[in-house]
Amino acid sequence: MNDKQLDALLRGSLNNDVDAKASALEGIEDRVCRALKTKFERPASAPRSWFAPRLRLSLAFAGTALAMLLVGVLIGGNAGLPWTNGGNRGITFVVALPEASSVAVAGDFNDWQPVALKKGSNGVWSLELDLSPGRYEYAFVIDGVAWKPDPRADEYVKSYGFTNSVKYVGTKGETS
Amino acid sequence: MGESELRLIQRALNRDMEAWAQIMINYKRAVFGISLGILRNAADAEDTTQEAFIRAYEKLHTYNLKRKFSTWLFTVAANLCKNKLRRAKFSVPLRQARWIADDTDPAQLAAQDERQQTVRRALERLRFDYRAPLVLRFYADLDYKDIAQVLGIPEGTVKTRLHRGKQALKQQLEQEGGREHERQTA
Amino acid sequence: MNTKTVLLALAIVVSLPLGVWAASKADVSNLVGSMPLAPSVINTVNAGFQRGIDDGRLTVDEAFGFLQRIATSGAAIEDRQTILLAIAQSLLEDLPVEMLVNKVDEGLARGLPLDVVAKEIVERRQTLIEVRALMAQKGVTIQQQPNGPGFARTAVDAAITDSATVLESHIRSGKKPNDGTLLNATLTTLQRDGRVPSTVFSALAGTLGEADLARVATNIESRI
Repeated sequence: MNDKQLDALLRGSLNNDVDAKASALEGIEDRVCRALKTKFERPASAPRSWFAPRLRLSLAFAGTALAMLLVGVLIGGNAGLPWTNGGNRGITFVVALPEASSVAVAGDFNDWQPVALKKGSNGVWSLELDLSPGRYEYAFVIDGVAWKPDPRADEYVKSYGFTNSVKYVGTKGETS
Repeated sequence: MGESELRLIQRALNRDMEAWAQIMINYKRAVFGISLGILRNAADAEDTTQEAFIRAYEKLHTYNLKRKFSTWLFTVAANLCKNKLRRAKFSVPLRQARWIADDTDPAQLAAQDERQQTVRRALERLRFDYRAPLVLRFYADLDYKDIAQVLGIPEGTVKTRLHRGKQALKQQLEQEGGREHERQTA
Repeated sequence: MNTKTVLLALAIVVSLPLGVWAASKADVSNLVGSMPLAPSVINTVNAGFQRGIDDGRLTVDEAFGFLQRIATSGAAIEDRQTILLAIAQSLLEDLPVEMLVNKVDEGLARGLPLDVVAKEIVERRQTLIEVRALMAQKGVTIQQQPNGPGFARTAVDAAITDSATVLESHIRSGKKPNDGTLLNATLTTLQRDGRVPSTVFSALAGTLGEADLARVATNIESRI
């Protein structure tokens, strides 16, 4: 089989598949517009009542509940959160290390195999990753040898005696 | 980029939903075709197409008006596809729908070159890194430069992957061809 | 190098998909089978990973990639066996293994000795078992029938994983199990994790108690 024949086969196969399934596209513009309207109309900081009221609440629990509500208010509106990009589907890793010759990030999202950040002109390193909702532990690897936490992490946890950074992606209600 | 497309984008940036709807009408088949080619499953391709347009709208303010809109939009779609294929741990599981090769109706199969079915099965087995360039080239007709931009890889890598991908497909077709020959002469 | 090692090395190289093709379930089986482990161990490990793939807890590529990293880690076979069995058995018991796999990868990447990693995995597996039981007590279980009780697997897995992670981190930071902060820390994490839907969060926020968590944390402390 020569190259041109293979090219034609590929084109044919791919196009036939789309022809066969394209009916799925009917009305997709409406569905998308509706979804976008819902997103933009939802008030950014509407607190959601996540817990069923309980008759016998210990004081401690009531306090926790209030704390949860506050946290919920702060996190529920994802607009303006510095660490999400364009709508709660990713993480931007940013760190100012002008002296470093390389900065990489290793974590749950990449099997802990370090991936390089890009150096900006001002000595600020950054990397944007498209990630699904979840909780991610990670660390920066500086000059290939020093593993350090991220000053801009959501949280810190202990692991193997080291301090790992944690970031969360996504907001409630996206997965069932 | 045509002036009318630029105007549509600018209107969309000003929350004009009708303008975005028109852009979707213009590009939905292309985005769907790319997603279907990569994900090999119509239900997931449909989900991805919808998600791609939602995300593209949310990120429209990051799109550089001087660059090709199609390339930017296809990048959004390709990244969504890559994510979906990649990590079970962190993604909503792909719908347990049927792969294209199992979902093609017999009448359609009969009307096609039977080798297309071999191509379908082989595409299913290819890694994203080799499948995506093939889809972008042979469905979306992108040139090496645009493919490189969509996938975020060097142009040289695009050429290598296209070459190796095609070699792999050729290998499968030859094997299938050999088996078919055996069946016929048995 | 003795014959066995050469054969093992060859087997792994041969079982590496030629870069172009994605790994298949058969590739996973072959890779497990090529390891110098007792046949019964090979069966369990393979069964576990295949189950994990079928349940959607691992993609084929993830399973293959992880097994490759273990196979090529150069660690003592006993430690690799311990790790693989802990993960495989967890998968067979319908437990989430995300925390275990992540910790192994972190350990490998940080260059830690695999016997240290193995000990950690065995301990964390026990925590997962206890947390799963606790969640079940509170009505948070994986839905087995389409209209039956329970929640989506990804939601329950995330709830178990996050709670276990919080408790482990708490004890491993040197804090005490009875300092009264566990409920707050756990609920905060669950609430922030986009994979935990509000239904699961409500169920737990309404029923989980500080004492429940302190009990599991005390057990962790006794194991470490």
